[in-house]
Amino acid sequence: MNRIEVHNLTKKFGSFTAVDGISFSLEAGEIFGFLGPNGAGKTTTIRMLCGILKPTAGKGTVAGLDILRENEKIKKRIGYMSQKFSLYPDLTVEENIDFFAGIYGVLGPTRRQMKEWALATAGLNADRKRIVHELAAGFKQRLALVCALLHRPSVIFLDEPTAGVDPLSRRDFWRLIYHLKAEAQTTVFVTTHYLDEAEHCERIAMIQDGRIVALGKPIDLKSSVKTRIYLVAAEPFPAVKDILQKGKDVIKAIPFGLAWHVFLADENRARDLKDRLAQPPIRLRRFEPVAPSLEDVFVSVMEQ
Amino acid sequence: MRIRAIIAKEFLHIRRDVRVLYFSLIWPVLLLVLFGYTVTFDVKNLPIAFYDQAGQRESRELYQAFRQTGVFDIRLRADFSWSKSPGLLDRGEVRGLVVVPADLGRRLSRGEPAEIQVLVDGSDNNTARIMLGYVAGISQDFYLKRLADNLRSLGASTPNLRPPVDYRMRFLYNPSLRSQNFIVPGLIAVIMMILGTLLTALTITVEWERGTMEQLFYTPIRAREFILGKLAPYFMISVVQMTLVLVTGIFIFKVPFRGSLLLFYLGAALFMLGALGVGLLLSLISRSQQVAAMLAFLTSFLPAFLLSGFIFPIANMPLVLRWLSYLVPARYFLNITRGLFLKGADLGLLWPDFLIMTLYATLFILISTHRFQKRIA
Amino acid sequence: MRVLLTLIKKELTQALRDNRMRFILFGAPIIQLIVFGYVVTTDIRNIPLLLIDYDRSSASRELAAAFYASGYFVRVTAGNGAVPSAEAALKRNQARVAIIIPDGFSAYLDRQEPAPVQILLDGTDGNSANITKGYVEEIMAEYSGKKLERNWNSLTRTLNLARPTVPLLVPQIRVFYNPELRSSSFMVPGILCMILLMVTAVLSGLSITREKELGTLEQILVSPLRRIEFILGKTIPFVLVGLVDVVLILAAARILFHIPMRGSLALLFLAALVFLFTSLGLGLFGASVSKTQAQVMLTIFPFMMPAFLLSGLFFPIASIPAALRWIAYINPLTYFLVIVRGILLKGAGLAALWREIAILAAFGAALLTFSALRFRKRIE
Repeated sequence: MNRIEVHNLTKKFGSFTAVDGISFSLEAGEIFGFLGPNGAGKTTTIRMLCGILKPTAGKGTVAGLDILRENEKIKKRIGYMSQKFSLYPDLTVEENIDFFAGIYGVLGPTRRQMKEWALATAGLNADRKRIVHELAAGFKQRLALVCALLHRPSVIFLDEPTAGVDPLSRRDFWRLIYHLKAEAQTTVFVTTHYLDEAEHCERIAMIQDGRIVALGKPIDLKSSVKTRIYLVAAEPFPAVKDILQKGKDVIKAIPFGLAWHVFLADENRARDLKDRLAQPPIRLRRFEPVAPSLEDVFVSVMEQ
Repeated sequence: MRIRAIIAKEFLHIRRDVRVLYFSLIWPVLLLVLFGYTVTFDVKNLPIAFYDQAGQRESRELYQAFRQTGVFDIRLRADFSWSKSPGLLDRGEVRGLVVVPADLGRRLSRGEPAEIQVLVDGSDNNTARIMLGYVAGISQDFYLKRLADNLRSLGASTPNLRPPVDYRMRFLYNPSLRSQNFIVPGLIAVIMMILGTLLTALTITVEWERGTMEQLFYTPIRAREFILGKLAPYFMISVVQMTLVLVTGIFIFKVPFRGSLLLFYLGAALFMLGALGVGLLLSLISRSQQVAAMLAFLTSFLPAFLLSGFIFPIANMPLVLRWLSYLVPARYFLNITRGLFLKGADLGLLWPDFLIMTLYATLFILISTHRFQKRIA
Repeated sequence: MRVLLTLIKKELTQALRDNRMRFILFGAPIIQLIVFGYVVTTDIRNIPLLLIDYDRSSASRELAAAFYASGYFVRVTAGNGAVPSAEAALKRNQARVAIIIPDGFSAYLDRQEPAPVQILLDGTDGNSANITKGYVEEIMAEYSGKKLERNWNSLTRTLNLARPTVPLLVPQIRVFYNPELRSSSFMVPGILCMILLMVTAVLSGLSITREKELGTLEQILVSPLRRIEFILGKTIPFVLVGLVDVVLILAAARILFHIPMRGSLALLFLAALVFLFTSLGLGLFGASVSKTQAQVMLTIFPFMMPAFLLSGLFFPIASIPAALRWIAYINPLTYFLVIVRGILLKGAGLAALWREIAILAAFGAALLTFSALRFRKRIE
C-alpha cells in the first residue's frame, strides 16, 4: 500500500497559488526528496500532508488517513522535524526526549526503551543531562530527529533538515535515515533546496512555482536530459563568456566553479564550439563531456 | 497524558529560571513587607521654617501650638527677607514658612488684628492643605483663648471653652486606620493580576518566538490541552503565592481575617483564571515579548492598581473612568478581599462580585482558546 | 560614527515597524497620563454620606447642610423612607460615612453642653478614610467655631457688655506654585517620570536581550563593531523615543490638565536626558544579568513598584519612617521628581536644582559604567 498518495493537490492563498495541482505517491520505506527553490511550495505541501493546512483542492492520504477529514489522526502517525530543530534550549537532552514522548503518548517501558534507543542513535548517551543550548548544531539536529521518532511513526517529514549543519554531520544524518529505512521501513519525505543532497534520495520531485516539473529516480532524471553537457575550462574569462553566451549553438552556459557547464544539442555542435574555443587569444584547458548533475537536470527542466 | 507532558515541561522551565519563582513567591512577600512598613497616609515631619521676629510670650505660644500638632518639623530661623526666604521653598528645603511679625505684642495689647505671614508650598497640594488646615485651627484656637480670657477678665463666669459639638469618629473594620489592613487585601489583587498576565504572556510568546510552538502543531496535541498545560503550573504557583501573602498579612502584620477561608480561595481561583486568560489573550496579540510585556503592564497592572479602588476611590473618578473600572476584574476581587478580611462578609453579600468574576474567567479563557485555535489553522 | 547611525536606524525601524510597538511607545504613555491624571488625586469628592437626623431641629439641619454644601459628599438616601442601619449601609458599601445626629442635639446646644454626634467611617479604604476624616474635622471645626461665636456674642449681650475687642490673628496666606491646590499639578510631573522609566528601562533591556536570545548577538560581536558602538546603538534609539515622549506628555499635560510650565524647558530636557540615561543604565543592568527577555522583565519589574511608591510621588518621603527612608534616597526617581516639579511648578533653575541633577547624573554614570563593564565580561 502506498504510504503517501497525493492527487491534484492545490493550495491557494487568496489569488496566489502556492501549490498547483501536484500528484505523486510514495511506497513504504521510500526516501523521497522534494526539491525546489525557496518559495516553490515545499513547506506548504508538507503542511497539507501533515494535516495542519487545509488544501484548496485535490486529495491525499498519509499513512492511510485522509488529509482532509482525518487530519488530526494523521499527527499520531507521522513525525516532523524542521530546520529550526524546535527543541527546548533550556532543557536537557533527556528532558526534551521525555517531553516529546509524553506528547506522543509513549509511556512506561516503551518510553524507557525508546529513550535509550534515541540517545544511542543520536550519539548522546554521555550527554543526556546536558542542556540543549550547549550542543553543537549537528547533535541538535540528530536529537530533533529522534524526538520525532519516539512514537515509531510510519512516515516522517523533514523540512530542510540539514540547513546550517556541517558536511560531516550531514553525512552522519543521512546514514541515520538509511538506517531507519532498513530497520523500520519508515517512509521519509525530505524537502531541501540543496541539489547535491537530493542525490541521497531514492526518488525526487522537483517543484517550481507550485508545480512538479520533474519526478523520478535521480539517475533516470539525469539520463533524461536531452542535451549534452560539457565541462569547459578556458581563459580569459571575458572572451570565453562572450563566446559561450552569444554562441548560437549554445543552449545554456552556467558557471561551474571556475569553469563552465555548457549545454549543447549534440556532439557536432560540441566539436564546432571546441574549435572556436581553440582559437587564440583563448587558451582552452578542458573540454570534456560530463554526466549531468541534478543541478543540470533542474536547469534544463526550468528551460522547458 | 499530553497535558501532563506540557505541565511537566513548564515546571522544568520554571525550575531552571530562578527568577520566575522569586518573582512569584518571594517578591510579593517582600513587597508586602516593604509597603506595610513604609506606606502611610499620616503626614509627619513636614519641614517648615518659623521666624519669630517678636520674641514674646504670644509668639512662643504660637510656636508651641505648631509643635504640638506633631506634624511639623519646625526649624527656627531668624532674618526673614521677602527676597531671599521664599528661596527655601524653591529649593524644597521647607514646605512652608510662618513669619510672626515684630509688632505682634503691640497690636495684641491694643486689641488690633495681628498678621502672621504664611507661605506655603502648593506643589504638594495634600500637605499644603493639611498645613493650611492647621494654621486655621491654630489661629482660631488663639482667638478663642483670648476671647475666653477677655470675657473672664470682664467678670463673666468661666465661659464654656469646650467645643459645642462633641463628635466621636469611629472607623469601622479598621479602627486604628492601620495602613497594613488596607494594603494587604489590595496588594493581593494587584500581585496576582501581574503574575497571571505577565508570566503567562511571556511564557507563551517565547514559544512563538522560538518556533517550538510551531513544532507542536505537527503533533497530536490539541489547542485546549496545550493551553491547559501551559496555564496550570502558574495557577498552582499562584495558590502557593496567595497562601504566602495571606500568612504574611495575617501573622506578621496582624491584619484581621474575618471571613471564610474557603470563599477567599474560591474568589482568588476565579480571579487568577481571569488573569491567566488575559495573559493568554495578550500572547495572541503580541508578536514579540517586548510588546507582550508592555501590554501586560498596561492592561493588567495599571488598571488593577489605579482603577480597582485600591488606593483611589472609584466614586471620585470622572464618569468615563468609572465605567472603565467596571471592566477591571481587580475591582471585584478587591471587594471580595476587603469584605473577607475586614468586614467578615459572606456570600450573601459578595455574590455579585463572585458572579462577575466567574463570567470574566469563563469569557477570557473561552475567547483566548478560540482565537488560539484559529491561529493554528 | 556612520556605523552607529546605521545601528540606530535599524533599531528605530524595528521598533517602529510593529503597530503595537508604536502604540506602546507613543499612544500608551498618553493614555497612562490621562488615566493617572484623572484617577490619582488626593482631592476626594462624591463620598457617599448617609446622614440620619433624629433631632430634626434647625441646628441639626444646619449641620447637615454644612456637610452637603462642602462639595465633598454625596447624599445617600434610604429610598423608601425607612431609615437604614448605618452599619448595614457601610457594610454593603452604600455609604462610606454615616453621621447620626441623636434626638436632643439642639437641646444640648442650647444648654451650651457638648452635643454628641456619632460618626462612622468605613476604614477599609484607609486612604479615603483618612482624607474623609480630614474633611469631617474641617467641617466640624467651622460649624463649632460659628456656634461658639454665637454663644459668646449672646453671652456678651446677656452680660450687657460692650462687645469686647479681641485681638484676631489673621494669617496672611500665600500659596506658592499651585494656588488652586490642584492635585494634578502634583501628580502629573510624577507620572512623566514614571512613564519614562518604564519605557526606557524595560524596552532597552528587552531589546538587547532579544538579540541575545535570537542569536544575532554573536553575529554582531564578530563584526568589526565595537562593543561600545553596539551598546550605544541599542540605547540611543530609546533615548530618542523617550525625549519624544517627554514632548508628548508635556503637551498633553498642558492641554488636559493645564499644568504650568514656569521654568526653563531646556533645563527640563537636560534633566530628562540625564534621567533617561539612568533608566537606560537600569535596563542595561537588567540585560547584563539575563539570558532571556522574560528574565529582564522579571529583574527590572520588581524594582519598579517600590521605586514608584517610595519616591515622593504619592506621598511625601518625610512621612516614611526614618529607618526606611534611605530607600527613597537611593531611588533616582525621587530626584527626578524633585527636578520636574521644581521646574514645572516652581520655575526653579539650575541654581536651585543643581544638586539633584548632579546626583541623578552620578547615578546614571555609575549604573551605565557598571552595566557596560559587566556586559563586556559576560560576552568574553
